[in-house]
Amino acid sequence: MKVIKMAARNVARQKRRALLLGGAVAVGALVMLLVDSLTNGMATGLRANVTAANAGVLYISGSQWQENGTALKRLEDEKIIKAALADAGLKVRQFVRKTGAEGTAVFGSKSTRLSIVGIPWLGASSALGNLQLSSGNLDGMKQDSGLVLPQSGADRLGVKVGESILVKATTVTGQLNVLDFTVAAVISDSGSGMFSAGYARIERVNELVNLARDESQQLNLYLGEGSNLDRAAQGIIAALRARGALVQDRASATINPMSAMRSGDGLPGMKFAFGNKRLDPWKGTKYTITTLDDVASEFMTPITTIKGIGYVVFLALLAICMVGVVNTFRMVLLERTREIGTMRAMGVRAREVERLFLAEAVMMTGGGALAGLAASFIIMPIVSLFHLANSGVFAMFLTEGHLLFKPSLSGTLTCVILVILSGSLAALFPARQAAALQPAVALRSIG
Amino acid sequence: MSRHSACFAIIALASLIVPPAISAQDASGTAAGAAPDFQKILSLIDERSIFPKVDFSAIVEIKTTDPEKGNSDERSASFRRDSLDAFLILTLVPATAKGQGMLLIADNLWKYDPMSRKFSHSSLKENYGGSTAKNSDFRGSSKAKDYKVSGSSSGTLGKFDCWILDLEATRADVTYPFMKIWVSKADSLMLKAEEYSLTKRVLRTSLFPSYTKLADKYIATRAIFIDGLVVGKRTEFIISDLSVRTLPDDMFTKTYLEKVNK
Repeated sequence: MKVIKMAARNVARQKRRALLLGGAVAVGALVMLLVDSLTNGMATGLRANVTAANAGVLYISGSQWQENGTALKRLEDEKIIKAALADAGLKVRQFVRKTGAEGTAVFGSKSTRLSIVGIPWLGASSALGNLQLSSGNLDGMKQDSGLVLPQSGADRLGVKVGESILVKATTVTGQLNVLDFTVAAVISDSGSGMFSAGYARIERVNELVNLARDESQQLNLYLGEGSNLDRAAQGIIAALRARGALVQDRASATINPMSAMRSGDGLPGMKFAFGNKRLDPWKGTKYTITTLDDVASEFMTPITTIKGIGYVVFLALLAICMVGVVNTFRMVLLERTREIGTMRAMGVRAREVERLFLAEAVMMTGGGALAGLAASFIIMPIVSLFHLANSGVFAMFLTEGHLLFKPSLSGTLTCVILVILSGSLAALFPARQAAALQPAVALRSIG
Repeated sequence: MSRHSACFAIIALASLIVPPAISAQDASGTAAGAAPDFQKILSLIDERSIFPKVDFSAIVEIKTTDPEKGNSDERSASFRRDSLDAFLILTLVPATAKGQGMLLIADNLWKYDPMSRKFSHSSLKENYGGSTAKNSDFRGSSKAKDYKVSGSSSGTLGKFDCWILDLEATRADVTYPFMKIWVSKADSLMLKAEEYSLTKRVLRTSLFPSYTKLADKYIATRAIFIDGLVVGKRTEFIISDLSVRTLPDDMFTKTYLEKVNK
């Protein structure tokens, strides 16, 4: 306690030096905390956007082998899946049946590629939750041909709410079909083309791809809060296999989604289009289980990169601060040599002198870290007030167009502890030098 | 000019262009007045477009009119070995696309990009580039295998008397579930086809205004594909330099495509 009081008094004696050093440390801590909170927030935003766009976190799809070597994507028997979910003991908050079509939307002389996702609509409500509408309203979804179109598609076609467009797509068996849809509303694009899909009633999309009205290609699940998705997927696979169903291995189901789509395999559970590649035969329905993490993992790369850059910048700033601490305490040692000699002569032990120096270092760096923390809590809410984007690739990492900062306890503690430890380490050598000073020699020094 | 007017003008023009020198014969060999065996006519159409014993090569000029993207001209070399159901399409013009290739072997269709030197899977059902033509249009016809005749009537196309046949796909994976074709009564050449979706909407109208005889086969030297949905979009194939010379065996391999682009 005495050491702490003395250290505090010594730090207060050299306010300017303490502020400068603490300020440098604060900047480093601020950078680290902002990057950590930002990347956590981006990951949260990404997961939320993918969940909303896909209406679920866990996806079960089925496919049947066809004579021509391709797969017909259809979930024939939902009962076996629900039984397997019960066997696996999973708490499912909501089931969402889904059918997809990839094709071309045509309006007059204009056309554009369009993915359409068919889900159940109860009047104007669906499992999609709050859609960011830029025009129109969801009352139009009460009609069978209603379509919610992404902004990019509406812009390319030059189509407005209330107008009809033609959608040409491939059926589940590979035939071409055309149906008309009426634009009920236009939504902001939530990111890359993978998520910029139109939404329609599942019955209409089933008609487009030549499935029965009550069929689906995929069953999406919303699980209970905090569910481990990978464990849940493994549980469902085991339960389905125990019931004699054919299920694709998780490893092959979670191959890089973008590579799978480029190679013509399609992303299991996500790509609905008629596959291009000839497949080895199988009997019955082959189930594929994928999760939100599988889909989102491809898009985590920029987040990981930002985090990596943040860490590098933080470590660089920390190294600079450590150099500052070393130099500062060497100067302190020179300035306070006689003082140290006086203290030693009065009976203060060498160990206590060392502890005093270290305590001063901890106070300066710790104070800087806390100052950085406080600054980050002021900057984060201000920056998140700005509305950045509703569409584009960047938008998929945002939460309703805003940056979300999500500080984590582990990240904050790591930062503060790291700062304090590095400051202490930097001050250790001068502290030991101070402790090793002989009182008689110290008292004789000029200064 | 509306799409239908343009169609009619082309058909009228085509009727003047088709060389009278094509020595056609009544395909079904039936007596005058009696309805022929239409399924046999389909088989004849297919038979005349396929070279089972020799290779086939030609230069294909592809002109696409797209109201959004503008006009484009491409020239490609087409090589076929129908005995193996293999073909190779090699782009010659424009220079920016030179060396791009499309290879069908063992039921797999590959696209080659010389810039990245990578092959990617494609499908016969997909459109060729940004055109209205399908990749399958480079193959011989397979109507007898893919369709059955569900209805027939008599009519004219320009100055040609035709059988108008309604076709229904025999399998669920045939690209166009329904078709209507105009076949000249005199020589059983297909002059026009309308291709329909499952909901019986016209997806494409194909016109074949001129043919040439090569060996005992008939090859359309001009084909026009008119998009049924996108107003103003069409693609024209002009086929020339037809030949049945034997092609090297390695031509229908991925290695050949890579070698040609070195």
